[in-house]
Amino acid sequence: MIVYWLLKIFIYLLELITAPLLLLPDASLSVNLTGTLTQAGNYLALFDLFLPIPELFIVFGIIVSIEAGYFTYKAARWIYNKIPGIN
Amino acid sequence: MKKYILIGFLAVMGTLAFSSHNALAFSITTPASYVQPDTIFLDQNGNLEIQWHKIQLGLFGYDLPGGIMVSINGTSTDPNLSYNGPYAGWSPGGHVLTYGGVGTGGPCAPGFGGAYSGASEGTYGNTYGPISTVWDANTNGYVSTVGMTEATPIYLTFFYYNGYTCGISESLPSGNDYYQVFYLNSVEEPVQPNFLQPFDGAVIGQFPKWDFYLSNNSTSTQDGVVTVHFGTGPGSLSLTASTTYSGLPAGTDTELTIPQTYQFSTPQGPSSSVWYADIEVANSSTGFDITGSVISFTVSNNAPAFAPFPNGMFNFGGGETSSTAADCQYTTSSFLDDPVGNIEEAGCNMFIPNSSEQNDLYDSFHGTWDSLSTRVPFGYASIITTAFTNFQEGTNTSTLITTTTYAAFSSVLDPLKAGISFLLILMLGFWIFYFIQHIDL
Repeated sequence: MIVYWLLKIFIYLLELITAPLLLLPDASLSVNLTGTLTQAGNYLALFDLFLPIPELFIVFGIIVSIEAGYFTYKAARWIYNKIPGIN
Repeated sequence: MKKYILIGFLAVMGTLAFSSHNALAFSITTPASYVQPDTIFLDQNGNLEIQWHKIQLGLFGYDLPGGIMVSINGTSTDPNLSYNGPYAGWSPGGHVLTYGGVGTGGPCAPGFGGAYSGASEGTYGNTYGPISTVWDANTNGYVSTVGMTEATPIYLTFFYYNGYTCGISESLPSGNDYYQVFYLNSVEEPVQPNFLQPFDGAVIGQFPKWDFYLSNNSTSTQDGVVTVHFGTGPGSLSLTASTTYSGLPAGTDTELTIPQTYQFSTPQGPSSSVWYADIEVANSSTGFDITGSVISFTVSNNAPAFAPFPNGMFNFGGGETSSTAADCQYTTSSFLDDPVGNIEEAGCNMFIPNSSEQNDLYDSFHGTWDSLSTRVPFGYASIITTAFTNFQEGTNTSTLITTTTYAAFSSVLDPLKAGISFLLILMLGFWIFYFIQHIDL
């Protein structure tokens, strides 16, 4: 009960904070974008015949995730060090 | 004083006369004064069953009615719910109900008539009486329930039985007042379907497959056919996709898929459209056939091609909700008998949300995110992410290197791909090693 209401209050606060964002319009991009990427995927499938494309994407994803995480950490550290009185 | 005695005498006689009038009228054309089924359900064989709570007949029961008329999906304005009712796609519109499926005089003789002839005030099964199976005297078999849903109206009325033949007499009651409408309370179907994707209310892109599971509630394996009907309106589900299931394990939930090849939207069409679908399970093991509720979902070009099924949400006949988290129950004894168990239970209830609270939290959080996910600027990220879904699994459209060509070279290309994969993973390992060595925290 206690945990439920704590989480419930957190969600209410989240809704309150994000309420102004609901005034913004729905995002929409041209349907051609999806079509273009699908077409690009089809071209990529050609290389899948002799290159391990899925594995390539997995490795690429891992590297990007690690680098992005490291960058986020550095950014958080930078902001943290800007707080007066710390360090 | 004499005046009051006279008034009292007239009042009693008047009441009796009125009651007798009702009873006589009832015996000829009017229905029973009271029909109250407790549950109406489909059993595991797909037969319509009615468990009576109470059947209250009229006073002084003269010629009591011969049976109960059941009409599935009939119309209450139909003059007589005749056997040859014009109900498209259905077996005869009216069905004789017989006790236990077979009456004392055979399937044509309803069990109720003889049992109450001459009864002064007939009540039957007033404490949750027996279960009756609806019998179709016209086809001499259990009534067909193919296509029946929980929204299908079932009309019940008494009818006057014409002797001891299978015919329905001309004294069948008519008019809306003589019918009571009921709906299925539950379905004891051996196989119960539930949509996983798309679920009811989902916003989804061009999805690759219909995804659902079948719950085999019986104790034996089941075979049959599952058909998804879909279309642009709840009443026009003209498109279909189907698959068969065989040897569905007893007492388990089995996930099944049907490839989805229909192109819901085109670049020239609207970016989103609402679609409707239902699942029909034709279980050949039992002859059971039922169609689930119609769900609706929105196909949007910008939505992901997969919308995970919400936790605890079921869309078929108000089925049970499921949760992997058990609610707190340590004891059923009182505090004095089991103080430790009661304290444990109280502590658990204090800190651990029960399954309904978990579902509520899940729905609240996802509701908040869902309302934001389509708005600027989050919506752009969603669109881009969606566009990249299965990006690496595109379809080769080249006419130079076809599947046939590839097959010819596979003995060379497969080891080559395996080698390149190994090198990629090896390089990833070296890169991670180098990264950790030079990380600056």
